[in-house]
Amino acid sequence: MRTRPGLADPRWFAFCIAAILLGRAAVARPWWAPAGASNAADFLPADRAFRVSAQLAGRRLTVHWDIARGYYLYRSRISIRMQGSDRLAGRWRLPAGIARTDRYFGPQQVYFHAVDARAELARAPAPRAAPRLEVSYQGCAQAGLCYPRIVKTLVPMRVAPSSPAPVPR
Amino acid sequence: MSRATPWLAATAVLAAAWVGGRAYLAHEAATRLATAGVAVPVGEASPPSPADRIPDPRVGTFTSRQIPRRLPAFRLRNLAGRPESITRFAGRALILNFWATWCAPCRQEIPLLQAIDREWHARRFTVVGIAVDRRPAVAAFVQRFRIAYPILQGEQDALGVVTSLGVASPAFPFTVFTDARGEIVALYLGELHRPQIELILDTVRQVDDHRIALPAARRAIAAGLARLRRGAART
Repeated sequence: MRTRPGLADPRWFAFCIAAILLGRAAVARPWWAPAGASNAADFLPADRAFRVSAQLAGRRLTVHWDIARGYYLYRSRISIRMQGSDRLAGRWRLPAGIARTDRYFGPQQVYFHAVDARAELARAPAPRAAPRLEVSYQGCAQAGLCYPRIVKTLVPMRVAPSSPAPVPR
Repeated sequence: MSRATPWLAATAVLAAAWVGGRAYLAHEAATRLATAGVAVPVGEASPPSPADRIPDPRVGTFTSRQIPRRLPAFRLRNLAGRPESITRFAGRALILNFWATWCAPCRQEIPLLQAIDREWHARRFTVVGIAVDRRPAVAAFVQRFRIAYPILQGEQDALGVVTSLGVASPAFPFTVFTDARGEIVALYLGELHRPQIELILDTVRQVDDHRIALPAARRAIAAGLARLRRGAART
């Protein structure tokens, strides 16, 4: 009568060794791509550090940034432009930021946590028309890393005019 | 149950472990520094250009697994506008500091790099600044701050160098450390401070003196940086 392999079977022992080696190989650095030591995991990708979204409630436009803890955006480096034929009634309004004196750039205002930019369209857009915004912004990690200027084209999410301030994405 | 059944099951378990491990790594890589949406670094006052825009943001990766083993050969322009090859520094351990004039932490670490260049030059280490920025802005900055170490400069071409080092999405400053043979020992993202840079340079020197092997040096640096980070978190 043939017996099935049991735990004491040397083949199972060999199998366990193979499983351990294979598991280790699965999460190991590939041999063809050796690397230097790196602290890259200490920082968030720019799109995680600064999450941007836009909403349109009637004629009211809001661009909202959620800023991760330990990161900040420069007020002076935020710019928003309308694309297409839509026009604003007035200008984009940004709240005052937190004043900080940069050793090299002088007095700056920065935002932590979150910030909203608000504006109103000169005319309500047609129901199916989608205004487009070109948003550019730049920020850094307090731990000493700066991201190049980020430029995105956003199509604001339409919400009912009575809706409160935008909900972050 | 046939005799082959346990072995088939075992093979399936191994395959699942492999796939799971690779999926975990892929997820981990995608959540590290890497973005799409990151635009070409340009001067603070420069107008937007089509190159600034990535209309279809995809998540790239910034993982240590993509850092090449050796420093790739590249040519960038010096401040006089003449192309210069990085191989000009062959035989010296390099501290390649990637920076831009609009980046405050880049500016802050430059005095440290100047001091390090003076202190370590006789030990066959050389700091090379790679400015990913426009030449007039870089030239004015270098003149103003009297940077004595060599500076190479570029825009798209310098970004090509950044990519060749495994940095899918640039963020500044970052510094690449090589040994005298051109092997990449470490890549440090963010502003350097003296304890970090001295830890790395001491280890690179041990590599050059054949007192430690490269993989052990990389592990020692990673452990040392983690230790410094924990110390900084406690204080």
